[in-house]
Amino acid sequence: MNETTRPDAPLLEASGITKRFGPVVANEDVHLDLRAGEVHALVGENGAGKTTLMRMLFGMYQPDAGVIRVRGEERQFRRPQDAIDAQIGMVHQHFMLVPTFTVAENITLGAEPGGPGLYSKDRAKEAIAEPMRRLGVDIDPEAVTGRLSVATQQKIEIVKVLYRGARVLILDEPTAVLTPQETTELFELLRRLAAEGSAIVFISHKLGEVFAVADRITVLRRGRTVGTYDAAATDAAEVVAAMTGRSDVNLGRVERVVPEEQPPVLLVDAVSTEKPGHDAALDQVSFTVRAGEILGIAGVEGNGQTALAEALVGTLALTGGSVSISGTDVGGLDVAARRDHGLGYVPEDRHHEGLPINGTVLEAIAPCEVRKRTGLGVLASALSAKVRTTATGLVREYDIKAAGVDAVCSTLSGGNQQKIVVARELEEQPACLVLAQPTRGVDLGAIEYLYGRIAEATARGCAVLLVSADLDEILRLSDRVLVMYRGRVVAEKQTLDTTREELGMHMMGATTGGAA
Amino acid sequence: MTAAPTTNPTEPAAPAPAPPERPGWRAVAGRQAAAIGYTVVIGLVLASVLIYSQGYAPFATIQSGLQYAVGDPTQVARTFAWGLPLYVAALGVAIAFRSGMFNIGAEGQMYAGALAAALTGAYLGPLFSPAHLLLCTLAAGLAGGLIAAGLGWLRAAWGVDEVLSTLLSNYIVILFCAYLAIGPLRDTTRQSGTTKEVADTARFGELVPRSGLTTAVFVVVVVAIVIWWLSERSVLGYRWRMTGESPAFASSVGIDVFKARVSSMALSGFVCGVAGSLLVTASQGRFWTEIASGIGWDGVLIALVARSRPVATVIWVSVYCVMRSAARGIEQASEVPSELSLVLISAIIIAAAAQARVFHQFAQLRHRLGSLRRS
Ligand SMILES: Nc1ncnc2c1ncn2[C@@H]1O[C@H](COP(=O)(O)OP(=O)(O)O)[C@@H](O)[C@H]1O
Ligand SMILES: [Mg+2]
Repeated sequence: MNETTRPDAPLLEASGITKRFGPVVANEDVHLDLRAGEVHALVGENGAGKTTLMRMLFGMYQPDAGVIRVRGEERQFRRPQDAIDAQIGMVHQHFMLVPTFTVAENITLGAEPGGPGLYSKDRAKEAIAEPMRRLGVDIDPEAVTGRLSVATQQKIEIVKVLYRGARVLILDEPTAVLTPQETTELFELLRRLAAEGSAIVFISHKLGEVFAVADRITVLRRGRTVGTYDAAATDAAEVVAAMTGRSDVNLGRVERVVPEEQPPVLLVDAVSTEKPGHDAALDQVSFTVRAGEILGIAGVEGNGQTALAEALVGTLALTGGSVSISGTDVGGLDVAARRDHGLGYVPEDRHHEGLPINGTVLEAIAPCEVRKRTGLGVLASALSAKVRTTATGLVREYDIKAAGVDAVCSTLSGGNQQKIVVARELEEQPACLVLAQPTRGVDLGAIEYLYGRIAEATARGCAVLLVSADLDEILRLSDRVLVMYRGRVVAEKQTLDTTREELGMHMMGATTGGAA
Repeated sequence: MTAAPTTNPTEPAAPAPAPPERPGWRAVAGRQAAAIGYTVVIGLVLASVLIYSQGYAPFATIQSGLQYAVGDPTQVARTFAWGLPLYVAALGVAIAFRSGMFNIGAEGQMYAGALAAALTGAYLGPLFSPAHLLLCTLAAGLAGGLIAAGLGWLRAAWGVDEVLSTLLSNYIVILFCAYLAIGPLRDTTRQSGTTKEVADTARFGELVPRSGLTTAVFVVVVVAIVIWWLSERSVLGYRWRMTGESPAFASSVGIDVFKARVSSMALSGFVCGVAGSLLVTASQGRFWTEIASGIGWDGVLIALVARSRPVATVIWVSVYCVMRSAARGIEQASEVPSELSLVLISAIIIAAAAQARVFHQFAQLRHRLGSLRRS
């Protein structure tokens, strides 16, 4: 940039960075350096401070201590524009695109080629051709953004960052919203950008992904840097140990004692529904889950798994068949009554269904207590001292990293948010627990912890239905697996007798062996 | 009306770091205080410019306006006497907003309430005064509550957008009440459009002589406290708030979203009806065809600006009353034409609304109307 920069210095370097939010130390003496041409993975448990560090590199927060150097020159970013001027770009986990704008409008928004606010369709089209070529994608500039797939929108975000001249790209958990195929495709794009001299920071929870794409790996734990490793010279076990501070983290099957011959708890018989907007209709689905058993539901997303979870909990009406819990037919009951009969539910969409995302931790934990209030009880205090005590206890017991029970849910990391949901649902000691995508966007340490709590619940006799798009999860946790395809159960397997390949075949619709 | 911090006596003795008490409340209060300060400053600047352009000394004129509004106890009483129905109406609208229901039919519900109170006051009794007042207030509440509950039910059961239905209900209700007052229920001894005067037992007594401020002020205080508790602290309010802020969360944890929507609308309409009754029982003594004169609309605006928080709503109504009264005073002191003081108040409201991102909320409403999407 100018004469003080050294060509051999890292493209971007953070040194001794500390950042506090009130009593919470999000980053403490953190070091990170980025070289041109590398994909650098930043890993760590939820709440380890990854997002906070990246936001400081992007000028959204200012560090309390420490320095940021660009090509060896010390810089202070007071706002994102300063970082953009230093050729740094960030793709946020929640996209910041205007759905009604065209692709070209979104990419050039705020940096129009004709000058501020002067938008010309042709000039914009011309101007975005170069970054598109750099990334190696071809998206119609005239397409309306909101109609494109999530994966394409993510590419638009990357093009937007390249358009603004970024040489350092920060991607905060970009794969959380992608399918496995889309993830592979993204990695090709990232490698391509690195090959032409950019530096890429890739934040992820999935170690498989990290080793698939990264050249170096920096691990954060509780706001501190544990170290930076060459991907070629380390392995998953070492990285997991660095992330969690323990060397005994289990990445294999969750060990549980599965009691034999327990009575069935959840009985689902020939259940059908109408087609909900976002998923396939259920067609004559039948199965049982016994006390203490974990039944996995596998399938490519959109084949009725979401509809199944919603039909069980009561937010989607049945058009045929019956559902019973511990011998009571609950098919005609509302959500509250089903929960009174011992049903627990961890919904797949944490931000919309699992938590009041703009509410407090206390408000997220309160529902169980509040549900029991009837008659004049509805006039009494909702967030009473009792609820507060329960909530405080759960936050401590589950080691939920939050600035107290009055913290707003949206300020918590995904893993901590999910801990709140699971803590709330298990607190009621349900007879049957429906888990929908329980660890999506949750890091390894928290996943292992949540699996442990689920295993404890089954030891108590809780019947668990595990709906997951993640085959690893199903293979690690469930005793039996059903595969769903187009709203029907097409296969049933004992987990220990099946393989990922076999399940994959059934997920494409093959109906052999034990189909209902 | 202080928000008692919920301390926790049963906290286990373990020396855990004490969680900060209700930072949310502080933040909200701070933001509202800033918004009010900003609005007052904008108001003062605009007023100065207007007054100066008319050839008067801004400072002295504004001072005499304020003198008129809050200069002595009688003036203070007068200023707030006018605002009593507005406090109640704004709080009523806020209840519905809290559960995500846009009750913009407050004006119509006030007319229905006012008419119900006027009829109960005129044709029933004279009775023992507190009983008579209670009956008038209840009748008004029922009238407003039934209208709003019906529209809430249409929304919850059939997805009929309440923004549209409450908006249209204003015209239907107001015109119907006007028809009754002009036709069958007209007081034949008076000019057209008024109903019979209510019995003395159906009127609140004056609290401050020659100010128009009646004992209804106690009703308003009670209503405000009850609404604050219901919507901010109670289980009912929790269900409303969750339904409004995160409907999917509410239904997945077993909150009856249908019931929450209908009940908050019913209570909202009830309170707006009560606001209408105050127009009769605390000031006019009878119903006439333009009795609410836009107070219901003011209530909708203030509830939006205060983001439907009861405490903030009360404060904003107070600020609004003083501003309105001061504008009157300026009018008298300076002969600044009254149209200009209306312009002034409108400009201040626009400034406050912009600050509270009310336009953003309107844009969302328009989006909802346009896309016909139902939750
Ligand atoms: N704006 C904020 N206000 C208060 N606390 C915050 C804020 N952002 C992050 N934190 C806290 O800082 C810690 C690190 O968070 P974050 O950087 O998001 O972690 P990660 O991205 O690694 O999951 C967490 O304990 C989180 O609660
Ligand atoms: Mg993060």
